[in-house]
Amino acid sequence: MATQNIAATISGAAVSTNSSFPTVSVPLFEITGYMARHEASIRMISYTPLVTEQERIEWQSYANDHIGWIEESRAFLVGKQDTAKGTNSNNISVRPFIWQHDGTGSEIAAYPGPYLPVWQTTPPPAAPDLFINFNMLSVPYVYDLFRTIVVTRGKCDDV
Amino acid sequence: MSSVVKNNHHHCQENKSKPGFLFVEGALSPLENFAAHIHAIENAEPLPPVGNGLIEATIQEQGSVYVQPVFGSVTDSTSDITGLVHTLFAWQHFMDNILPSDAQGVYVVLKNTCGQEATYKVMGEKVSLSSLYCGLWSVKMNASYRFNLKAFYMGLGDLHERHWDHLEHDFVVSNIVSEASMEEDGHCVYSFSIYPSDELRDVWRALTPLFFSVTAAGAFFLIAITFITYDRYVIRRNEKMIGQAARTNKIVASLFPSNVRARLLAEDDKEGESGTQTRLKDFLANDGPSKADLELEDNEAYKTRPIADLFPECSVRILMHELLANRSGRSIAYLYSLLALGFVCGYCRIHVLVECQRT
Repeated sequence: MATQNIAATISGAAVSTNSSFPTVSVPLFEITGYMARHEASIRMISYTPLVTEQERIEWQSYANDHIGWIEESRAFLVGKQDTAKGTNSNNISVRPFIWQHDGTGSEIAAYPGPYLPVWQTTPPPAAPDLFINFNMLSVPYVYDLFRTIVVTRGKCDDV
Repeated sequence: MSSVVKNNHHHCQENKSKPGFLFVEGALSPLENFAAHIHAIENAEPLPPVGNGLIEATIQEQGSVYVQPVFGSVTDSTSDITGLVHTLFAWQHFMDNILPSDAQGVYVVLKNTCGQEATYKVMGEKVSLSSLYCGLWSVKMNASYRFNLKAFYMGLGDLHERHWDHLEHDFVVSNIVSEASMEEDGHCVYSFSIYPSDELRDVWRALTPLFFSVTAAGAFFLIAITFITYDRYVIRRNEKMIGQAARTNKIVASLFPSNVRARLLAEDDKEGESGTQTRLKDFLANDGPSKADLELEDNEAYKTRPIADLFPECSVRILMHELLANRSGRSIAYLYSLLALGFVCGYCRIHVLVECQRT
């Protein structure tokens, strides 16, 4: 239920911020995420927008311009005295492109799409460059889950 | 992939059978140790190589990722999927503090349809000393422990104690995934198998049943001993009475001839059967012994019939030396008076047996 609430919040954020997917961010994401994590004993929640190959350039530019949500989240956690996860630092750097691991573990730019780049997470990552814009669709089990959801959605007339 | 999404989306748009935005549920990933992943998020460290990190060796936090689709519209359930929300959780958190405090030592085996198993043990743990205060003049200690039931990860595989298999309870974690997605490959359906343990049995094993069993057995033993003692006492008393009766009978037999003895006994029996009952009735009716009964008791010795045999002719030989042996002159006179009375009446009647011989 907590996850479904987060998903609905993201959908609602597109309306409230007058944005269109995939370039959508939830204002003060950590407030919603913090409550969800503590109520449901969840270790981590992350949002990965679905980015097509045509939307890739636009997304990478958007991610670079709106990385300020990490500072917002850290400030909220500092206020909550959750210092372990709220290190306040202005030195926030992310990779300016969607990336993934190749077969040997090296980091490469993801290609081709579609992509599921990691965007907003709770708690905010201590090292954003290790998580932000990582293509989750390159992880085999995430790919399988996404395929399952899509196939299940195809059976919606039977539900 | 994108075309697949769009095609299925259009397929669903034609069948707006179910309102709401959550009719497509999420899916669960296989079981995985996410300790290193969580550590990297929280501590700004790169992910260690799989299976070779110190974190992975020391911290085991088996978890799964639940993936929920994000739709383009909050209200339109047939809108496009615009992203995913990934929720990473550790299974053992769902087992903490869900059992009563006396349910220590319960095995929970987590199984999924992806062929994975992991075993947890729910244990009691005293986690905190709430307060401890030592004053200068007085020492006050208020030590109260909070007793939490924590689930501990034991390892991959089914590690429960096999001799408790017959008490297994299962339930499937199916409320977070749709029936349609459960039929699909690529995600895992989880179930819990719960088993007791020897430790749980020991918690419930008390001395009360033993106490009641011993008490009941002791009561039966005491009753048995009482009966045996009473039985032996009755037997001994009967044997004593029989012995006494035999001795009495022997004495009587030595004193009286057999025909006299028989009559004595017959008379005694007859009096015992009828006389006692009649007297008891009279006693109850008169609220005490009647005057007639009292007189009867006084004169009974003279009113009973003599025990004697009729001998039309007899001779009595008196052994004089016996009489002479009795130095009392009164006895000789008494004997002669008896003999005179007997001859006057024409028959021999013996009241006192001295020593006689029939002729």
